[in-house]
Amino acid sequence: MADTIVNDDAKKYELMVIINPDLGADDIKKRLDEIRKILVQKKGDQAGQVYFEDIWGQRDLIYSIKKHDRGYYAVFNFMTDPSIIGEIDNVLRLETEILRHMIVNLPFSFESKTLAKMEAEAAAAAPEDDKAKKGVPAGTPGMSAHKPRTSAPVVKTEAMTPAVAESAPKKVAKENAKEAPKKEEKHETTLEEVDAKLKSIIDNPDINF
Amino acid sequence: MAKNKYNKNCPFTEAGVKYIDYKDLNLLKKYVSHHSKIVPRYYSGVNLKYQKMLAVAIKRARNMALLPFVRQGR
Repeated sequence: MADTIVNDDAKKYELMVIINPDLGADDIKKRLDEIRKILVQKKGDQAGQVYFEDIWGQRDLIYSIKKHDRGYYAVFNFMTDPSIIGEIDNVLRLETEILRHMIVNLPFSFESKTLAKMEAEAAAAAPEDDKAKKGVPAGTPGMSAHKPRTSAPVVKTEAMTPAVAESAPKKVAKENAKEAPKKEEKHETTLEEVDAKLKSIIDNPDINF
Repeated sequence: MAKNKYNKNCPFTEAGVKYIDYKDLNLLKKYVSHHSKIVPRYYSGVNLKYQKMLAVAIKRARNMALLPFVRQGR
């Protein structure tokens, strides 16, 4: 008999597992089936239940684990008696091919989502954020994340000498009729950008003044 | 309570979030600095309750190699 939600002792847990990616697909499947068996094991007459599964597959690790740079990720959401969790943890720890595992408590109202769904939601929200940003055209050079720091002092000196700043747009306008509107926009936003960049430097928690 | 003038609203309180998933990397990356340090509450404007949840989620993600512990800043 599987645990029912009515049972007070049953709690929701999430297990994330990183398996050695160098194993063949069959071996990995074997491991995953073993894991499922372990999660569903019986305590007395009640068995656990895996109600949601999300297998991410191979993925780059941010740092190497046991000399591996990639890992096979899998996520299982399951419900069991809390006393089995210790045993599950022990078994997973002793498995050599399971590089890392983590069992996490979940609140009862947690909605399980697959990674693909989370990324799709994030991608849907992202274009809205881009539009809300200041109207800097995406194609203009020097608007990338790396350049503004080097360009900020240059802009500062221009701002200090208004004569130069005034003449610069004029020169640009003379050079190329097509590029003029883009560059003028660039110059118009520079003072605000300087403020924004200074703010981001002051606010940056990594830099200690 | 000194509120920093840049971020007065906590996005989590507005949404009434109950649990911050450690797998939600897009969300977690916003609260992590260039060197991959957890951003202090002063800068992000997050409520204490949610800052604690965020910290737990970020540390879990770091353990599972989804977020770095340390990253070379550019």
